[in-house]
Amino acid sequence: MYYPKGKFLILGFKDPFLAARLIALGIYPGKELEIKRKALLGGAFYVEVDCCHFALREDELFGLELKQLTDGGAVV
Amino acid sequence: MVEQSYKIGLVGNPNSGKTSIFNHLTGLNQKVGNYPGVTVDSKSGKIRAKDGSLIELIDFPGAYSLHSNTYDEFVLTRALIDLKDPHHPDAIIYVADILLLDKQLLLLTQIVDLEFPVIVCLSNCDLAEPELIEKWTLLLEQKLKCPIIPVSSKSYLNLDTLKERIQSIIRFSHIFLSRKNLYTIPEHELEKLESNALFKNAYNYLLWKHYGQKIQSSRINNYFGKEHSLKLQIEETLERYDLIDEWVSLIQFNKNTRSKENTNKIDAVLTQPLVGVTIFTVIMFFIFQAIFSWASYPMDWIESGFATLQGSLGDLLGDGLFSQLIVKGLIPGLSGVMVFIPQIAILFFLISWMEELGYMARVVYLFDHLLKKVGLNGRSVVGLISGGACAIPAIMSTRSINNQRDRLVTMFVIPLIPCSARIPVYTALIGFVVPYKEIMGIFNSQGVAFMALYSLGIVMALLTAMVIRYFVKTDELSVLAMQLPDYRLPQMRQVLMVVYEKVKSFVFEAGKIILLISIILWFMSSFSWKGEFDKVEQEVRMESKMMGRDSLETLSEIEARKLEHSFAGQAGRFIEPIVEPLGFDWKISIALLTSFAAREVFVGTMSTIYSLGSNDDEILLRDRMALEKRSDGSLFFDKKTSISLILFYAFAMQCMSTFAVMWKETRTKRWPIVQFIYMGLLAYFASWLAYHWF
Repeated sequence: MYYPKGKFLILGFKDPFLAARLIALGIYPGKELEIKRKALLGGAFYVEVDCCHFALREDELFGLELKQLTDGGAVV
Repeated sequence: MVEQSYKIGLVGNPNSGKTSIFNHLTGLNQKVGNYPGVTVDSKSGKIRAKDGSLIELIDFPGAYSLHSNTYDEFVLTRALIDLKDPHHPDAIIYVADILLLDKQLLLLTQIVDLEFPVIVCLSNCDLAEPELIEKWTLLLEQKLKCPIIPVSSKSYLNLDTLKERIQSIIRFSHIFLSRKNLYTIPEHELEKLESNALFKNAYNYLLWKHYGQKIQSSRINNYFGKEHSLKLQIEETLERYDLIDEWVSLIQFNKNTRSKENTNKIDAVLTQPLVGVTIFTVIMFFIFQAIFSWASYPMDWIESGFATLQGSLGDLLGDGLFSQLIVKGLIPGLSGVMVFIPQIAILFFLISWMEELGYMARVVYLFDHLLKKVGLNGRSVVGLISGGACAIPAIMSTRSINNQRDRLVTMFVIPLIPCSARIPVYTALIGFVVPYKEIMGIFNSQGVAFMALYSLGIVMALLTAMVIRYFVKTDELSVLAMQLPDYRLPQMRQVLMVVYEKVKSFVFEAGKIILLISIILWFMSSFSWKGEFDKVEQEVRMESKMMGRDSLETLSEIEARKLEHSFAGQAGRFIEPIVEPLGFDWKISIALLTSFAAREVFVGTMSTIYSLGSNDDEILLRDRMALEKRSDGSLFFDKKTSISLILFYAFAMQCMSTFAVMWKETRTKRWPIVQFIYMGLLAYFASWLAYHWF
């Protein structure tokens, strides 16, 4: 499966439980999120928000409503 | 009279520099305990303020918000909102990294609204521009009406000032209470919060409505219901962020000033999928080598030191009961505790160095997915690999896993990973199963068999994890979402403090249990019913006269027969019918009992039983074992019995130190007992299957 690299705008959350966790980390609507890379075999995503780095599981990233801003290629 | 002491909580986000400040303020005067109901460490230390008053400083686990997502965070929330909590502080020192202030102010705004007297320490000020420090200091002083102290634990900036200011936080606490709330509770929710004298203010009561049920489920019902509670939490947090964003814009804080350039460069390599995993494998090989091989030198010194002490005290104290207790019970027990110190110290030196560097968070990122599939956690990888050298430090290393279920599952399966203590047993037995043969000119058949045994242990550990996770209940969500801190050069003082704390907690907590079990085992193998040993000795001496044995052979035979007739020997005979289906006799039964002290004791016990004297040479033992026959004249250690015995040692929890450490780390007897029974049953069935299959 391929995932787009690049910058995204966070529009909202699909899951309130996840929202509570991510907001506490400073990941919330209105912030820009950049997907940088992905760990092996369907592993976690390495993302950057507000010049800070985070590790997010696939379901955690997909729990965010995102709008793509720039295309940075694909993450395998 | 008990002196009154004030409690001050040290609070902050993970990686805010909180623990460095705690270590600086308390030095070695620290006590590690645990928070009630959870296996989260509570660290506290006593300091004396300049006016002579005694202050207890509590280092709370790092948290991002009082709306807790993990046990670590819940511990803080509970302590701050429950006035009856034994860790409820009188005041708070809040530590926040000046370069990450926009991220780390959320929790501070919540604490301020709880009306705690607060001192804010802006850490890492040696890395920030003076102008930025000044702007933040003035702004926060004005907005929060509390003292702001820029500090650096690296350059010791203002740390003494902080110590001086601590007493003022207590004395002038009323000054801090005149602040306006930073978060405005919505009118419709405020109306529902009837006044309650048990709580400091409306925000305290609001938090109690969120978490009261979790704290005291019997008394307080969840007021909001889960969904509404989450909605309120999100609204509250976003409102606080609006306020923080306003402050950030006021001082024109440029987030790009963070030291992320180096981090980006390093992470481009260390978190690159294939390269990252390869580099970690090399690092783990280095760690494995360190605890497996390098630690063996100091371990040998400790063992030979105790052996010398044992000899000298034996000569000094003579042959009485007290002397035997000291020389054969206490000293080997102490030696059994101290011998693990080098491995624990080396492992924790390396792990905490990597943790301080910021690398361990990357390890979690790299391995989380693979290990999550079997019910483990990215951080489990260190414990699992270290378990290949010794389960004791490996189990202790799981403290860094913040999800309680993942941690328990990891601790449960670590003893299945083949440790170095199994090697002498395998060496003595493997020759009976696989004859020495060269394979392709480079490998030898016995080496391959060793490799297969290691693989078997790893596979069994992973399979066990997949099953056991369903039996460990938790209401904690399994989340990864975590910040990856910037790389920073570790401070050696912090690293050494961790090593000191781990060694101390092992020696004084697990050490007591190891010592006790060791003395019980000594008693069982050295004593019997009254007159039994005298009778045995007379019989052997008469036999020896008739058979023409020399005095050394006679003494060895006496030792062997005494062990046979000791309480341990009788227990061995008692359990013989249970282990007979595995192909074992009473001699092996005794070895199984005594080697609960440690697996390698098998070699010494079997040597004594076979009258080889106190010889720990596994090759000599193997030669003697090769001659052992059953009553029908067939060889005792044939292929099936040997495989059966190897598998028993591969899976059974033959290690009192592992038992003791599990007891200490889980803070309950239940888990080590369940683990002991599970591993025992697994060993029994694997051995039974092997004995009847081959």
